Amino acid sequence: MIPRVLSSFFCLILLPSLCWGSEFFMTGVRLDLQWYPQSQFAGYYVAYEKGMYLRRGLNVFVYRGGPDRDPMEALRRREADFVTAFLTGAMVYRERGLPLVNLAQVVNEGNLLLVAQKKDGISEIFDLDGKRISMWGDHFSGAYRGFFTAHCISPEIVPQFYSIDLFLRGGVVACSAMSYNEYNRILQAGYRQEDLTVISLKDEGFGFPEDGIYCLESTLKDHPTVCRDFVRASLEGWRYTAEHPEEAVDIVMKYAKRANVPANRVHMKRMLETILPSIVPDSSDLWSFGRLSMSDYLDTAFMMEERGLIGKVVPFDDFVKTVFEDED
Amino acid sequence: MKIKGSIASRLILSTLIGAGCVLLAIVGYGFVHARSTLKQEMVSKVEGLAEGTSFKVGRIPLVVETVGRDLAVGLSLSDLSEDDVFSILEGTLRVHPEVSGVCLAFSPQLKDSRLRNWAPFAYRDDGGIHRKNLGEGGYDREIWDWYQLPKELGRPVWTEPYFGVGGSEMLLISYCIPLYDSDGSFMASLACDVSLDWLTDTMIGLRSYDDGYAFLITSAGTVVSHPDRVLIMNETIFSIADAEDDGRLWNIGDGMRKGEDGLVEFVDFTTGDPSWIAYRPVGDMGWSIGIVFPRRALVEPLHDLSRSQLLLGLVGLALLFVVSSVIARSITGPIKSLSAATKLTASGDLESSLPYVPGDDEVAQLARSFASMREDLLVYVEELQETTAAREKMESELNIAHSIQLSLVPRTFPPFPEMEEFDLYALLDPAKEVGGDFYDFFMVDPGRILVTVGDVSGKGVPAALFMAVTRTFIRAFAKEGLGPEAILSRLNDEISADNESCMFVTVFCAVIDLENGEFLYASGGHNPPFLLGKGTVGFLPKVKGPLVGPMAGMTFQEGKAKIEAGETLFLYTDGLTEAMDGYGRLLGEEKSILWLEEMEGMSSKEMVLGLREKVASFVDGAEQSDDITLLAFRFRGPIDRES
Repeated sequence: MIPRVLSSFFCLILLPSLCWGSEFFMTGVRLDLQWYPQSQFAGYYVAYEKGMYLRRGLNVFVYRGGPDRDPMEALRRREADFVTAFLTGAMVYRERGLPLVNLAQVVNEGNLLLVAQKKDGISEIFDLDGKRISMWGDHFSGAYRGFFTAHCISPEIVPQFYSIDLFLRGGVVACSAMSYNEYNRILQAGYRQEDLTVISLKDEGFGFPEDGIYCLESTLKDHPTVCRDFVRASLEGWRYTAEHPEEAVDIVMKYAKRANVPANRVHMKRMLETILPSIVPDSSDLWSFGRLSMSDYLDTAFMMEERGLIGKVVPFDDFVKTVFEDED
Repeated sequence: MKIKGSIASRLILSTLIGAGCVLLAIVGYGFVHARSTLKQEMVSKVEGLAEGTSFKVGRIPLVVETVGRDLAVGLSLSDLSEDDVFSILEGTLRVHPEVSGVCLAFSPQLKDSRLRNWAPFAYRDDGGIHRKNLGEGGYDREIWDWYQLPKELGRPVWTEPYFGVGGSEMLLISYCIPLYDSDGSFMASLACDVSLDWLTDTMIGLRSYDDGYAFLITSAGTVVSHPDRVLIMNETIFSIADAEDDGRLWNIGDGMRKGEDGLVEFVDFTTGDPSWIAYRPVGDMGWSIGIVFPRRALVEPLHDLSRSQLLLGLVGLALLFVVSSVIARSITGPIKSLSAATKLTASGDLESSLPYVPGDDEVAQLARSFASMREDLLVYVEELQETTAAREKMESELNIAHSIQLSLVPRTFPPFPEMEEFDLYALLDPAKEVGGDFYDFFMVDPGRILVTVGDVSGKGVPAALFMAVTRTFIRAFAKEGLGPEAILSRLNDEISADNESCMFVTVFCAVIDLENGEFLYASGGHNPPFLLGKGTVGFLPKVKGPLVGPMAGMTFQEGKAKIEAGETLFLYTDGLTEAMDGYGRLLGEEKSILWLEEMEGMSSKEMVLGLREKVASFVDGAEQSDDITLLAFRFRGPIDRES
């Protein structure tokens, strides 16, 4: 009954015999990702697979997240050195007393959506007023609630967790979705794009930065070089991913299979195609690769404060410690 | 279509094409008919399989639903202790081996703090049955579908497959029932878990039919059973359709998701083969089963059948080829021999042997006709040879006659250059078939000249000889001093004697005195000559006289006339007046007279040659039918010789 992803080994342990000689110089670090192996984390798997961590003397152990594994708890217990987390989630944990810092902002744009079926009479935001919708709670809810308030609508909220089945079975008229994940899963459950009403929070002015790399303040203080090298390698992994998306998807599929996690290539490919524009900026974007800007940080923090999800805004310089400089 | 070539090749080709078309039509009809029959059988088979499989697959969930509903009723009705509840749950597992776990999860929102954290869970592990409270130990039941779906949907529901834990990690589906308290408020979710292992067992039994397979999808399209294990749980039918860019598969998935029945043709996404798929919903789970059957399973036996039919047909065609070749040869062989014989015949060999064609068919008739034709040809050729010989003989006779004819008439002009009293010119233009014309002139004595023109009947040498005789007689009798009338009488008597061939001659004869131009003349049935005066042309007055030669003792009238100086006596034969143009019109005397009038003042030679030329232009290339003889005697007047 207790659901758990089948994986006898949660981590990818590197056991290269060639490294025994240099093990002395190796630093073992542990990275905990938020969720199962999927393209949302392609950059880290690529950095691992292509030896980008190793080249910097880092012996990385990558752990998957999931409903049964909370990276923040691992960080709190000092089991993980680095974690990836939603910015809003990281703010909530910091508020709750976990002294974490943002080393890099990987996903700099919001990917939150609301997805509804047109047959239920939902063709625009205002149609959701008074309707039953499922929505992620916790730190995810900030953007949604702000968005509802801005449009003066009050849907009836049903808690949404990892599953979109309630929406698929008509239990709610709309559900929360990540543009790169749940939305495509809905399509893969047999819905056509033209049958769906898709509301992007980013397009409505409620997009906030999402995945970033975090560690404890103490880790940064004690091992600044390791932190710098770790972030550099991870970002290099993301750059490589952007340049070699097919190879990256192959790598992700390999680790999904190894973790015995349901995954199909079409979904992973779509996920990567969808998430990459919010990771690697183009000329029209005002944000920089891997960096969380002060304005984005403050916008997010004030929104969270306004929604009552955090009590006070942590100063930017205390929260954001961009540790990488461009490498030669 | 026009087939070129020999009769044999045309016959064989036409036969083979015709028979081939018939064969193809038969094979095609057989193929279509067999295909529709086989298709119907296959459709029934596939539909039966789908129905049966749907029932088999749905059997266990049906049991679980029953168990769940009974359990829900049992648990709602009584006020049970924790241990009782666990016992009931464990008892259910003992009685129902299909159920792998069962959990009663109370809502954390309940007022009763004892129930808030209680979620009794009985499950199988290591062959035994164990119990656990899922309300303890940080397990958040609220986030799971098995708890949330019945609560939010307010009805029993099957979850999508998920990896559960019950000691052994396996794919589960849960039948979940919402339970309510007496106020109708949600109290708990009851979940009965079933391992998907039962599917594997059920589906393995379905691999028995050739090349086909079955697969299962959930209400969200997720593949939960498929021969290709990689697809299970990883793919949905829609993700496969997306990857394959297969709209038809997408529509099939849509029908399956909506719980429809169907049987459609599609391209199997695992093999790429054109196939049929029959799909049916499975119980009330929202699942759907698809039975895939490759078309080749139907088409291959058909192709085998068609192949053997075609092979037999080809053997038949080969035999037909041999037979038609033999028949064609039997027809064309004699024709070829006939053709060779024809060539020989055409080259003149009429004696070569002809092929023997037995029977009474068209070819035999043709051969007989040909033989008969050749016999006729032989006769004809013989006749032709005889005719040709006769003609050649005749032509040689004619040539001899021509020679005789031309050698007998004087052809030196002027004939008497010393005689200036007259100007004489004559012309004998023989036709192809000699008519035996002649002319002659000679001095009877120094003061008189005899001119004569004649036309002997008959042709060839006899005529020429007759003419020679006639001329000789005339000369002989003239030398005796006889006048024209006496000459003709004597000539007639001489010729008619021993004239068995009954030949005759027309003669005009005149003896002209050169001193004064007076002359005596007689005519034996001959055309009257023209007398050309100054500006006038007229006939010499006619004298009576029969044809010379047929009968002895005839009398001839003698005429007397005078020719003045400058006048011309113009003798001719009927070859002039009866000259014929291409339209069969005769020249006649009038036209001759007109032409002669135009020639006034000309010399004899100019007159004769000019007239001959005009006649030639009148007939305009038409064959000359008779000899033309012209003789012009132009009198200049007496000459005083002594002075």
